[in-house]
Amino acid sequence: MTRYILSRAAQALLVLWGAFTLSFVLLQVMPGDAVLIKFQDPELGLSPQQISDIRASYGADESAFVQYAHVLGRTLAGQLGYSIETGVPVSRMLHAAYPTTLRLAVVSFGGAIALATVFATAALLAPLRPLRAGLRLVPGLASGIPVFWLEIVAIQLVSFHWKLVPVVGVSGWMAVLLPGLALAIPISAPLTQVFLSAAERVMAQPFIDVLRARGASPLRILYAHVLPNALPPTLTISGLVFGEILAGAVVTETVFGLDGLGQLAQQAVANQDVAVLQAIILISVAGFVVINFTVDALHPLIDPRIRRTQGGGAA
Amino acid sequence: MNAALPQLSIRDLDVVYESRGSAHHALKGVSLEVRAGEMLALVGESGSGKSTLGRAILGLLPGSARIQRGSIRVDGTEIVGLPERALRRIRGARVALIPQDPAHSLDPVRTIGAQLVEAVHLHAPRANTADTRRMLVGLLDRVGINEPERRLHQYPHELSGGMRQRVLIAAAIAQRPSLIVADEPTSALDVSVQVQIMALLAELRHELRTAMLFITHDLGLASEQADRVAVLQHGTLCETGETKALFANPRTPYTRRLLADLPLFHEARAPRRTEGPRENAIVVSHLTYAYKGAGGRPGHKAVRDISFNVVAGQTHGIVGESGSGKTTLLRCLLGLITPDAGSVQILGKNPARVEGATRRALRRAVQFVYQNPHVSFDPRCRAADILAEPLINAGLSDRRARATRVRAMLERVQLPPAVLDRRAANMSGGQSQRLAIARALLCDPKILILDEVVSALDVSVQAEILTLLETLQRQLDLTYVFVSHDLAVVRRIADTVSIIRAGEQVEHGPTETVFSTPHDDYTKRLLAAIPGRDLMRPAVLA
Repeated sequence: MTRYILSRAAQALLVLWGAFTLSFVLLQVMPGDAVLIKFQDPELGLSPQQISDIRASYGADESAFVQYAHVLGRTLAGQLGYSIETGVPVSRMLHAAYPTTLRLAVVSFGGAIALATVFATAALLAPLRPLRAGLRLVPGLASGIPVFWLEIVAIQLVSFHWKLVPVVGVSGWMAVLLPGLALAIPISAPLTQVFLSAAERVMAQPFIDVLRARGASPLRILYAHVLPNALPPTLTISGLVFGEILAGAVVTETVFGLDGLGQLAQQAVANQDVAVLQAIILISVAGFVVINFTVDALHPLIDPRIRRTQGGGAA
Repeated sequence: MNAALPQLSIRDLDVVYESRGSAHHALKGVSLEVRAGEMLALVGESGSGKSTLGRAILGLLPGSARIQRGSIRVDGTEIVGLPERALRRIRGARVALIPQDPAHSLDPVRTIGAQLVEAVHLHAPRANTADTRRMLVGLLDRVGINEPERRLHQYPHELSGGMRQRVLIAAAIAQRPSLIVADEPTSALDVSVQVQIMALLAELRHELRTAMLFITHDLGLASEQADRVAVLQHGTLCETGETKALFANPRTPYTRRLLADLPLFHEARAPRRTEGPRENAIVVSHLTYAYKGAGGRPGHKAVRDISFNVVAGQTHGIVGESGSGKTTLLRCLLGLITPDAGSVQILGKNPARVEGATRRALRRAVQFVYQNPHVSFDPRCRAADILAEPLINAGLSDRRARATRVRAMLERVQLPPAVLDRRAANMSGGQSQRLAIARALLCDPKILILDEVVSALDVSVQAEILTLLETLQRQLDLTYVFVSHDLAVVRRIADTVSIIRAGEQVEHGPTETVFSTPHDDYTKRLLAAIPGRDLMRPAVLA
């Protein structure tokens, strides 16, 4: 088991390094750089000579390899650098922004699970066959809804028109309630779809008939037997859905004016603020790796049949 | 419970399956009774409606089925028309099910203990879990499970098929039901396990005075186990009677045909005379193969020191239970794995050593027919495509020439040309097995390796396929290797036979000799376990 964890940790580091390098290359390939964007403004009245002096002071005129070595060395030392746009240490910006995004992720993921549970139960146990078939189509439609549109409608209806949840002048958990629930809808769609198809495969198995023949109720069969059996594929998908939460956070925080990592990312892209952008990429990738590692570690807890093979280090 | 009243009483039952306006009568006017402590065997071929009847008694008919008429009384209570909630109180408590397939009839992710406790608590919600577990330990012990405390903490995949079926039996009798519906409870198990399970069911039935409806396709098993037998054909009961009387003197032509089709009733294959001495098509000598263990260590020996010859034009039967090494042996014959020791010669060549064109020629000369053709065909392919494939692979590019050969082959395997347009998924078991044989024969093979080819088929279809195989062997001078767990079938079709147990060849020789004078204890036990052995004419089997 220790060997398994060590090899997974090594894989994770490799993924982090790959993401770091790839993002560096992509940012280098883009024309211009943050220094140019900030100081090229004619109103500042800087001469080309002055601009190139500033670039030299930031190290922006060095060759790509030297810059890469410098940035990598700095990051490995735990230094995330300074924002070129504001001059503030990147770590301080992240520290201020992460709570909002974490809350948003918790609300939207929790909401997605709740939504998927209620919806899947209805789609599996609804009384009439046409009704069940109709309900099965809904997740596919929901996953096609653009997040920004859904959120604008949510603000208009829920907050302004019905005045149920305030979105202006709120902070903490209240601020992420409506955006989180809105984001939960498209995120719950793939969870529901994968769970439903897994659940239907489980329900076609003979042991379900045997349970019915013992007098178990449909609800009991669903939660005590179908759910744990259909969970593994759903769990795998929920690890992947984390990426959608991150992408959704960029849009959602912009629409709702929340100062989280998503908005930070959006501004950093607009300003080509390389240091901030790379820090956010690193954090996202690290989150992704940790979540998917957790998901893999949970599988053997749910399905006893894969417990033995994992201990043996089978590939 | 009143001993005089039948525990199960069915009157004039009609069940109809409705789909898109068309109706199919699955059961028509079925009436039967089962009394306390009695076993009624409900026998019939696939599609006869026997499973529908079992499901109707449990109130578990699928949504498309409707009880049109009639009554089902369990322990005096009318089941037909009862609301779902009331049915749930009866299911498991007064009627219990012992299912067909123990491998898939337990929840794979929950422990045996959790599932058994649930089965009890469904009908006694206030029961104390610790008390229930103590009771279950006794129950598991009663159904013949060793170390019952430990089993409660195990998962289904850690138990053998026979043990899982014992667990399912324990769950079924936990509530002391007055009726048990046993739906082919042993058809997925090895013969020797089948004997034990059937013996356990007989004991429990007498001990608990439970009525048992035993649904089976196996007339031999029914003849041994049941007090009475009901024969179902196309949804109608065609004959019901005391077991002895019914088998001694079947009244309807259908029952007579079913009995005649039993492989038990065929003479053992007599050693056939061949014109002059013939060469061996297959020579296996001292074959040993071990699967590699973890880290390249020598692992479990799958087969050890197996030797036999098959004379060209003859059939060699290989009999063994699951895990005996049959599959490993076949893989060696096909050249898919190289033996660790000993040798295999197929038509004078070593299948694991040949290369290039010789290898391709040998691959075509040795064809393999699999147990379940439904799995080995692409279900969306039409029969015409399935049959054209080996011809295309052989380089026969002319469409018309292919069609001619395919038609000729259909005639050989006695399939109507109309099946060419059908998809594999829409064919009956017998049809797809004929199709599988046709596909193999289109390669012009010398040897057919037949792996449990009739095991999934009804007796009458089984008899037809066996006759077809015999005819084809004569016409095309084929050599067969016939693998089966069914001794009665092997006895009918094989000239020589090997009995394999745990990778070792315990007995080997001409079929007649092995069956009439077995030397090995295991062979003797297997022969004694053939269901319906008493039905065989005494002269045939000593």
